[in-house]
Parts: sequence; C-alpha cells; structure tokens
Amino acid sequence: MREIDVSSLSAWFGSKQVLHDINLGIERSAATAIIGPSGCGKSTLIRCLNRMHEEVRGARVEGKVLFDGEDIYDPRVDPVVIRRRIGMVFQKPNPFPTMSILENTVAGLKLLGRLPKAELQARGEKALRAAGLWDEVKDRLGDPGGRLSGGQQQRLCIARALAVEPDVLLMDEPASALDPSSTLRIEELVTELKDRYTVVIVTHNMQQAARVADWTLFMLYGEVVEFGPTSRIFTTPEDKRTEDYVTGRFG
Amino acid sequence: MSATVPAIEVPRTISSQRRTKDRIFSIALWASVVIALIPLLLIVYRVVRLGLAAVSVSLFAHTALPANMAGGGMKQAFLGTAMIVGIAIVISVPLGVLTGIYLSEYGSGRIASVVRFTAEILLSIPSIVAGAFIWALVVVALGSFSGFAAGVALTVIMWPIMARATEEVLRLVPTELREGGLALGYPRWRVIMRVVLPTAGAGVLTAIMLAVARGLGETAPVLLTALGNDFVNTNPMKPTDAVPLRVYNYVQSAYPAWRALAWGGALMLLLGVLVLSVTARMLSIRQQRRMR
Amino acid sequence: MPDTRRGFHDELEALQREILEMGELAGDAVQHAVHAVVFRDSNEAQGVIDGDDEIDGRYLDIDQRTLQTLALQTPVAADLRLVSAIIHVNLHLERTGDQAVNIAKLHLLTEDLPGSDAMRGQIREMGDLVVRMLRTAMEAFDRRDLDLSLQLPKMDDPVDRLNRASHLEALKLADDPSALDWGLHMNLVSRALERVGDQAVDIAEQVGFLITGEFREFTDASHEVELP
Repeated sequence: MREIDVSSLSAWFGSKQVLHDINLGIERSAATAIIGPSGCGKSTLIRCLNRMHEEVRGARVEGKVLFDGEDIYDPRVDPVVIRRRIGMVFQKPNPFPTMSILENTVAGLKLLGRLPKAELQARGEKALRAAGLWDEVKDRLGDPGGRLSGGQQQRLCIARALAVEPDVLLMDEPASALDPSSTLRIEELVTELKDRYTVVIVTHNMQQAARVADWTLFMLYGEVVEFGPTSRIFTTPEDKRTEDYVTGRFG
Repeated sequence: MSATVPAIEVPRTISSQRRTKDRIFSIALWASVVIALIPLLLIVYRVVRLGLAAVSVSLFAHTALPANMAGGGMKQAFLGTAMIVGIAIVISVPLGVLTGIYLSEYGSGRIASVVRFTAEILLSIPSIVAGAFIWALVVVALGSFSGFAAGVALTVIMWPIMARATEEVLRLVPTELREGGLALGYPRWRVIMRVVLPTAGAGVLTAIMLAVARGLGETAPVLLTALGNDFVNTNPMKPTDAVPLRVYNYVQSAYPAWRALAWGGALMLLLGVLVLSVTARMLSIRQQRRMR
Repeated sequence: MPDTRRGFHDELEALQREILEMGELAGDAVQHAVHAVVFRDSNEAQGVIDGDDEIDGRYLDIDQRTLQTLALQTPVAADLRLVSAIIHVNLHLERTGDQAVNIAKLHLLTEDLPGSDAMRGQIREMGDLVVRMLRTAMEAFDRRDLDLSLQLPKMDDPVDRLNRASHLEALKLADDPSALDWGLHMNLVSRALERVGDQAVDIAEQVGFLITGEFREFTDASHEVELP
C-alpha cells in the first residue's frame, strides 16, 4: 500500500537541475532506503517529500508528490501542514539549545495550541520511549537539550519528530555524524519504528540500507536507477550500475 | 646525464642571527601595543583622578548652582541623558532589532541590500551631520529644541549599530536549528520567535548595549537638538540637559567649581560606557560558548 | 552493553536450531533406512523416501536464508564462521538424507531376494555406528565442543573395517545368484553408509573451523592426517 507516490518529480537549485523526472512509490509501514554516491540527489529527493527543498533560495520543484490522496505541491496546500504529518530528522542532531529535554520533545506539540501540562508530559514520555531515550533521561527532563551525547541528541530529535505523531518519518543520513555503537542503536530504532510509521532513510552506508530497509532505491545523477526489495538489490540487482555500486566497484 | 641536487642542510639549532631577529620583532610588537595603550591609560588616569574628586552625592542630587558657589551638581544633566537615551532606546530598539531580524532571515533580495547599505552608511556618518539633519527635521518643525529631538538624533546613530549587530548575531545561529523548526511544521515567524531569537538571546542584548554605549557619549547631535537646560526638565518636548553637553560647557568654564564638576561628569560617562562594553563583551563570550 | 543487532542475532539462532533439527531428521532417515533393510520392512523404506522432501525443503530454506544473511547483514568474525559452517553442514546433511534414500531404494529393489543374516548384522552395526557419528558431530556443533568433534575420525575406523568386511561377506554368497544379487546391492548399502560416516566427519571439520577459525582436514583421501 503506497503511502507516498512520487510522479515526474524534478528539482532545481537555481538553473542547475538536480532531480530528473523521478517516479517512485513509498510503501506504508516499511522502511525505504535511498542510496547512491555523493551528489546523486538523494538528500534533495527526501527534502522534496516534505517541501523543505523550496526553503533554499532559488530552489524549484516540478512534478507531483501524492500523499494521502493529495498532491503536496498543489498551490492550495500549505507546506507547514504537510510538515506536521511528514516529519524529518537531520544528519547533524539539532536540538533547540534554549529548551530543556522535555521542552524539545514537545516543541512540535505547541503548534496544536495550549495543552495542559500533564498531557504534554505524557505525550513527551511516550515519544521519548518510542525513541529509546526515556530511561536515560527520565530523571533529568529539565536539563538543557544540548548537554546530551551525540547519539542521545539524535534520539531526542527523533522523539521530537515522533511526538507530533506523523504518518511518515524522513531521515537524512541520521547516523552519519555518530559513532558506530550509536549508529547501531539508531538502526535498531528504525527497525522498531517501521512497524508504526513509514520511514524513508537516506544513507551513504550501503550496509546500513541492507540491515535496515525493506525497500531500497538506488540513485545516480539525479535519476532513479533501480528500486526494489532490499534483498533483491543486494543479491541479484537488475541493473549493472546498481551491481557496480553495491559491490564497491565505483562510487 | 643526471645531475644530483645537493641536499639542503637543515640546521639543528636556531642560529643566533635568527634568534636576534625574532627578539627584535617581538620587542617591536610589544612596543607598539604599549604605545597604543599609553593614551588610553593616560586618559583614564586623568579622568579618574580629576573626576573622583568631584563625585559626591551632590553631583547627582543638585542642579547647577551659581558659578562661584560650592556644592553644585548636574542632576538635571543625568536625568536629561536618561530621558534622551531612554527615548532613543524606545524608538531604536524595535526598529533596529526588527531590521536586524529582517536582514538575517529574509535578507537576500534587493530591498534587503538597500537597507543593509543604508545602515552601513549611517554607521559611519559624522554624528554632527545626524544632529544637523534632525535639527532641520524635528527642531525646526516643532519650533523648539527638545529632548525628543535629541532622542531621535541618537536613534539615527544607534539604529544602524543595532540592526547590523543583530543581523550578525542571528546569522551565527546555525541553519540546522531553523531547519529543525521548519521540519516540525513551524511557520517562519515562529521559527524566528521561538528558535532563532532565543538562541541568539544574549547576542541581541549585546547589540543593544553596544548601541546604547555609543549613544551615551554622543555630544554633537545632542548639542544641536536638546540645547541644554540648567534645570531639571521632565517634558520631552522642551529643551533638556545632557551629561556630554554639560561637560562640554563646564570644562571650558572659568570657574574651577564647574570645571571640577565637568570631570565628575566625564568620569560618569566613562564608567557608563565601560560597564556597558564590558558587560556586552562578557555576554558575547558566554553566547559564543553556548553556540558551539 | 545492549545487543544492537538483535534481529540479526535472533536469525542466527533460528538458523542454528533449524540445522540441529535437520540433523535429527537426517539421522532418523538413515536409521529407518537401515532398519528397513535389516528387518525387510518395505513400508518403512517407502517412508524414508517420502520423508526426503522435507529434508530437501529445509535444505533450500536454510540455503536461501544464509545467503540473505550474508547479503544483508555482512556478518564478521564468529558470526561469519557460523554462517559458513551452517552452509556447509546444511549440504552435508542434505547429502546424508540422499544416502538414506539410496539405502531405502536399494532395499525396495531387492525386497524379494534372499539375504544373509551375517551381512544384515554387519549393516545393522554399520548403521548404528554412522548414526551415532552423525549425532555426535551435531552435538559437537551444538555445544561447540572441539574435543568431541575430534572423536569423529576415530569413530570412522570401525565403519571402514565393516565396509571392507561386507565385501568379503558378499563373496560368500557366490553360490546362489539371487543371494549374490542381493549381496552386491548390500555392498552399495554399506558404501552409502560409509559415505554417511564421511559426511559426519566433514561436519566435525566444520565444527573445528567454527571454533578455531582454522580449517583442518580430519581425514584425507590421499594421505595420512596427523591429529592433535
């Protein structure tokens, strides 16, 4: 069942075209990984899924992205609303430095209006548990968000994204800035999350895609080369370029 | 036929010749620093020495007394400066900070370039020109010198400082934080209010303090717009006294009592600027540490 | 330190359990096949032949899953040796199952022929020995017991002797053509059993590799092997 349907998507930075006519279906309640060499457009693609690409000056998008029956690029659609249903976690953990751990977690909930403190606390706890961070921070929810380690900060950002209960979670190289054991924890988290959410994860680490994703998309020069079940991409890829990339013959 | 390149002899120890050169260079640098500091130290010393003598309760509690009587003060000047700078702050802070926010968050178009350019120019404008301009605009229009006019004149000086400094501080807030806010579904204004500004927090305060420090000491614009007053004035639309003005007048006076008061006022000005600058600097250091 | 690759390690454990189960099935198949020959039970023989589908099915399943694991999880160190060992043991067990089928088929071919109790006795003894070898090798695998695995080559000697003896026994049936016919087929049975013994030794070699990281031949067709 398709959560997101990308159709003829192209994107530009100024006059430079970085995505060429992408067609893609993201499955619900599964993890889809996007892999490819540097500069292939994977970050741009994922940023088009929650309309973050256009926040950059001079950036432009053409094409359709259907989510829940609607094209998110329809002029009548407010990007802000889309982003509440399609959340995002970035490569460099970015907790808000002036907010405490709990405040960070519920930062997105404040958009829903004034919620009673008890409810904020409850929803914050739920999100922190889902992100696997609750046990480590439950006694210091008032501490500043910046005082956590890198891996913890990233899980805090994941909790923050989950607190608004999005349908989709986009992750742009979420573990790239972390040490190996934190990376594995994030991967384990993704395998847990994909039961409840639709996850799209960009990674430059192929083995990570192999470990974590149900579906894998291989991109090159802004185009889709191959898309299919991860097990097929890594055992019997159909396109030679995919084969060359995953075996490390190039890229 | 191959030619062999002679190996370069790398000396094991520093030659005495080089050592001497190093030393001369260090001494020259140190000497320049000392020479540059001397005038500053001399000023501070003189002001402190002469000013301390005049600092007393009466400096603040009393207004000007007839020339040859002891025990006078410049209460009206302090109150006047407070009023004038107060008016300037009220006008320039919203103007300056909002401009700074605009330049930082939305500032990549033509309009922003123009605004930025204007601020740059105003930053280096001779303050007497600012004073003359406001004199023509406000004093003449209203028909009288006033504290209000002086406040506006100081705004012309203070606003660009605030705008540029705010812009700089906001630019230092990492883009990832803005992206984090946007990705949560925050509209742009909320990203600014709830993420960027709080993070820059102390930096904006620093910007304001630096601008106020400058405004405190400006004499020329105040001269042309406030006129001065021997008595306490609480009406901003009337001529008002100010500390730099009073210092300017008294220091040239024939009366030793008044000259003494002038040094007192000068010392207070120096202290005010010093306190503001140092505080701003400390805040800025703390802010930078937090951003890392 | 929490296990951050729980899913992967769970799968490894599952594969291990599957291999052990397969070992049981293969061992049972050989046992039933020998039983069928010794007690002339054609139904039991047919049962062994039918039961091979299950063994083949499991073989394919384990084969595919180990390939997936290699591709998707890039195991290293002990995990990698385990996966490699599972792949090899999987093959040896499948071959064992095939040998059981051969034995069963050989009985069905000769069920009406007269036989010799002496030879049946030998076959029964061989059958017991090789089944015990197989179960020992699998236990060594399960418990990662290096010493136990080193017992296997020794257990193979009596099997080889019995194999040679059964040839001589067959010759004694030369007077009766149908008995000889039976006897020659039984030679094939004892050869199949000898092969099962070899598979068990190969499995023990895999256990050695799994534990030590070094692959050592316990027996070599062409020359003597020195064992610790």
